[in-house]
Amino acid sequence: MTQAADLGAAAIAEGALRRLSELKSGKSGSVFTSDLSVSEFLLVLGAGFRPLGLVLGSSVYHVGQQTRSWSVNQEIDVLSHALSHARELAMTRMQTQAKALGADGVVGLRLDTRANDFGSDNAEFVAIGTAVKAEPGAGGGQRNWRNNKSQPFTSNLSGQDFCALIRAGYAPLGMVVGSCVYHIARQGLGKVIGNLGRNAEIEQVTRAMYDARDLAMSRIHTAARALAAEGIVGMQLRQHSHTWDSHTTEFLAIGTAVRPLRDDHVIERPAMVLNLEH
Amino acid sequence: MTAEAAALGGQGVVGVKLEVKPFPAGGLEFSALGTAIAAPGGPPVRLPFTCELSGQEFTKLLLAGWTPVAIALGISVGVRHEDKSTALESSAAMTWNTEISGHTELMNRARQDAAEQLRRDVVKHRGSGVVTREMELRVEDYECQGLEGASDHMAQATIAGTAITRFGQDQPPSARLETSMILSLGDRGGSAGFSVSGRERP
Repeated sequence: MTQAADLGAAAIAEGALRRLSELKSGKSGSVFTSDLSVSEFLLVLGAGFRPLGLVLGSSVYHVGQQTRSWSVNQEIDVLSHALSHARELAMTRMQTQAKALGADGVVGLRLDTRANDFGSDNAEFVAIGTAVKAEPGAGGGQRNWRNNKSQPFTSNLSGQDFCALIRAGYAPLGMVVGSCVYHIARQGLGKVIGNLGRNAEIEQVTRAMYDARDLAMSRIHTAARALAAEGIVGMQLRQHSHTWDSHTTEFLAIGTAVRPLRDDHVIERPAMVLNLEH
Repeated sequence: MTAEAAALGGQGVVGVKLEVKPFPAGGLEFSALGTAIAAPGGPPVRLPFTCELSGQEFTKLLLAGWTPVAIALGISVGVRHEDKSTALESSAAMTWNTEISGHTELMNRARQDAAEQLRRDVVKHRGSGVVTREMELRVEDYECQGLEGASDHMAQATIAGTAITRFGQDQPPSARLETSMILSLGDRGGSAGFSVSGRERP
């Protein structure tokens, strides 16, 4: 973590830690807060986890333009780095809170980007989730829920998906993110005139999309390997243009890295239901 | 609304909708609308519970051994003056990308404080926890009152939820809840998932 992140964290921690110390379980009259719906709350309980508290972290980041070539497809590294750093700051701050609560993990994590209303090139990166603690016996008596970096696990899965995952004998390790900011080259004038009046594939743009996706996917794989994961589930693929021009786009992949808890992954036979609503 | 429900002999109010709208004659009208319910044969209560939960959600909670207590709110408003550091960090002339720590702090403080207010509200209502409906953050930019030409930033964070508590403390709630995997036979879009049912485990 950089020095700036430390400073920011210190300022934020001051108020947050007071709140967290109140949330810490065991104290008489302590309550939990959560970001879960009723069904999610009950299913997380059913999977053997107790919600501890709402945890959140955010970072307002300047993600301005950078100079790039007009007619060449290329990754804009500076922006790629800026976005991943901003997300990392938000995630780290949220994880710090989860650790302060003594959590085993965070479920229902949402990693969002919202345009900031102050200034044009700013965006806020927010991570919000619910810290949970495993009850004895959860996941077949699993003791250690932390991942190989001894951090509480994080997961973008809903309460429903989380419950299904645990029951099938898998445990989340961490939320993994792969992102790539790409500049799509503008076409040469000759090409534009050549295509006038007919429909044709714009190869340059197609290739740019493929490249951007490949880079993002290879990064999410690297992140999952670093956690010694067996695979990634609950993938969301998104494309953002943030505040940039139409030729600059971010390709973003978010998922949850998982590991097996046991060798067999038998899930119960689902019951057929006919929904009579609507 | 709570008084009305109590007068009707209601023990609680479900599906509460809180609304704020401008009143034609000026000012704002705050309204709360819900359905008062009572269990047959139950004793009248002085202060009925309130919740924003739908009938389905309310039933799920009850079957799992929890009951709603009251609507809990956490609201926090923070203001930060645009000073040299934020102006410099966010100025368009800047050529590198970096965190704008002043803004980060403002938004984090507002959200953290809203979460703290929510927790206090839950404690006040003697709930043992809270399930939430939504979290909202609104930020605004307006001219500073004290200094001409300068601006202030305001962040307002709101978290709304329903405080809940357990009844029948003799057994852990998870033991009372049974879930089953279902495969929906609805439309083509019907998907497999979990349903929560309230049967007691043998």
